[in-house]
Amino acid sequence: MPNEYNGRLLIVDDDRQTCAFWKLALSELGFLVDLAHNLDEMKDFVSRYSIDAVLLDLNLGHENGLDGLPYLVSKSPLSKVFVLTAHASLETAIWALQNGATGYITKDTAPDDIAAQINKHTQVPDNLPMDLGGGEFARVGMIGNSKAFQELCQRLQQLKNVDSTILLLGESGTGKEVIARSLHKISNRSNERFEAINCAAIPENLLESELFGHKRGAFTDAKVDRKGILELCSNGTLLFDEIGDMPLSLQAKLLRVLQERVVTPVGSATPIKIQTRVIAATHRDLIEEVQSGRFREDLYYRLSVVPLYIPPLRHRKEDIPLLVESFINEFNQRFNRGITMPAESVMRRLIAYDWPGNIRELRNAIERAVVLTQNDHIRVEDLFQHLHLPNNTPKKNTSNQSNASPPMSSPLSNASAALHNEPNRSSSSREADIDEKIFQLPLTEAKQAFEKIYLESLLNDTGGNISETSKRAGRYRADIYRLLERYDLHVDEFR
Amino acid sequence: MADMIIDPIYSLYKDQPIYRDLLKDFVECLDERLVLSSKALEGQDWKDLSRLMHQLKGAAATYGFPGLAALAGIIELDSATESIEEAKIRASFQEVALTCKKIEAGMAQLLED
Repeated sequence: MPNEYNGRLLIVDDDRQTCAFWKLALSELGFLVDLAHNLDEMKDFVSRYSIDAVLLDLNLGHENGLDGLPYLVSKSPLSKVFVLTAHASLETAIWALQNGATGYITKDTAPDDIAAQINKHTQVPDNLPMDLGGGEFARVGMIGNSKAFQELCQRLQQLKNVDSTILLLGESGTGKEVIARSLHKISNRSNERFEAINCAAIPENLLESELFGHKRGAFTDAKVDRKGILELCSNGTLLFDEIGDMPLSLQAKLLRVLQERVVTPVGSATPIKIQTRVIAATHRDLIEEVQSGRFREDLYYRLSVVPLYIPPLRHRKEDIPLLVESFINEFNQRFNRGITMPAESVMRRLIAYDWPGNIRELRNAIERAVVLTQNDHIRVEDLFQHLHLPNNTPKKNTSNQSNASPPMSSPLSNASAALHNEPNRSSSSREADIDEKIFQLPLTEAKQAFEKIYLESLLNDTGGNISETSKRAGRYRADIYRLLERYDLHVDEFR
Repeated sequence: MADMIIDPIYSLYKDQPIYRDLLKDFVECLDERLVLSSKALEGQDWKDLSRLMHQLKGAAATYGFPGLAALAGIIELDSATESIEEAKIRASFQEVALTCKKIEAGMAQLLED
């Protein structure tokens, strides 16, 4: 009989027989094991699922496994990466440790020992210190002490043993997956499976089979019966990440699952009862998606039994020092460095910045700084290097900012700053400003930047009249209030 | 010939029934691996030979055959150097082939028991 569930593993090795052995051995030891035979397959898995640990072979035939390491470290930061090596390549394995891998495993290691090594790094220790704020939540990876964070923890405490569907709402990078995981870990389902599926990353034709499973012969490639992820997690928790991107055809089927608590595998007529706790997450405005016909209204109401809003980092800036400390510790360990906490002046900059990419952006900035800094302390330039684009420099530099200093506000607020400063400009000059700045940003941030500028512009024109603003925007008043909250805009400032 | 096989070689996992089918598959495929490697050797495709031996080394270590893994590792390194010593590689390859025969014999005996 398999042991208790230990997590989801991805094995990346080009030898199919080696993979088959590890899959059997580690499945017996309680892991859900996926296999990838090259780096493209690996990237595919990492984008679709939440993987607890990756066993990455150094030599993938015509590819170098180490080339996949930076991708794993940046795209799947919660995954622990173990380099698989035969005995002759220990030096390379050590190099891998210095570049983000958690450990290395030689291929002659017995499966029990491999499982123990993985568990040592992926399981939550019982005796973790509680000084990171959040008490019980610090133990499961949530860090903070601010009022917004405490309120969030309080809600999670109330919800931990309730089976109702929870909808996590928040901007990209606010840590929705970490929160879903934490909720599972503190719940009475903690010994059962937690799985996360990225609805945006799985092709529509595969998603149905992934969710509901299939019977042998149901379609060309269905060689054997396969359980779907909903059934596999029957007593555990399943996170539907990016639920707003789920195809409409599957939304109807998911609705039925949530209503009736049964799944019917593809090609089967027999429904299977499940008790899966469902958490859904999205960075999209689901009401907007409903209004535009891209998301079913009935599913929205079914999912949003308990909506939980995850505050953006700019609304919990008091947590930044704790988060910085935690990330520095993590990356010191990962990259074998001894970087100290930033000086007070650097920390002030960190707190002043808006972090439009939220905790993910902060984490990436710290990682970059820990890797790049030449000394044992982090400089401002190491942290904000990605923002040193000529057009990102605010138009009005304060006298104490040197040319090399980073902007103190986000690209998003920079983009909107000009409009704010010059409220009577013509629409053509607004367009010029948008052209000039927004095209420097990634798409998500560009959309947000435009949305904020658009809203500010309407509020300027209407003198802060919400009814008129909502009429001109063709949206409900509630939507406008939500956008005001999202972009931290105060209607009084436009009156 | 049976009289050529002196010492059957067993997997370190021979006493664990759950691995029996996989071990059988692995041993059955040894011949295929040897044929591919032999082609690379005859064609003096040292890069491919090194790659195939690397795969065999990893798989053999995984399946509990450390001796075969070590021998494959020697050929992997020898065929990846600048100055190839073909005679040495051929001799090592013979050893690998013989070890595979011993492993097949061990597997046959295991299945009989």
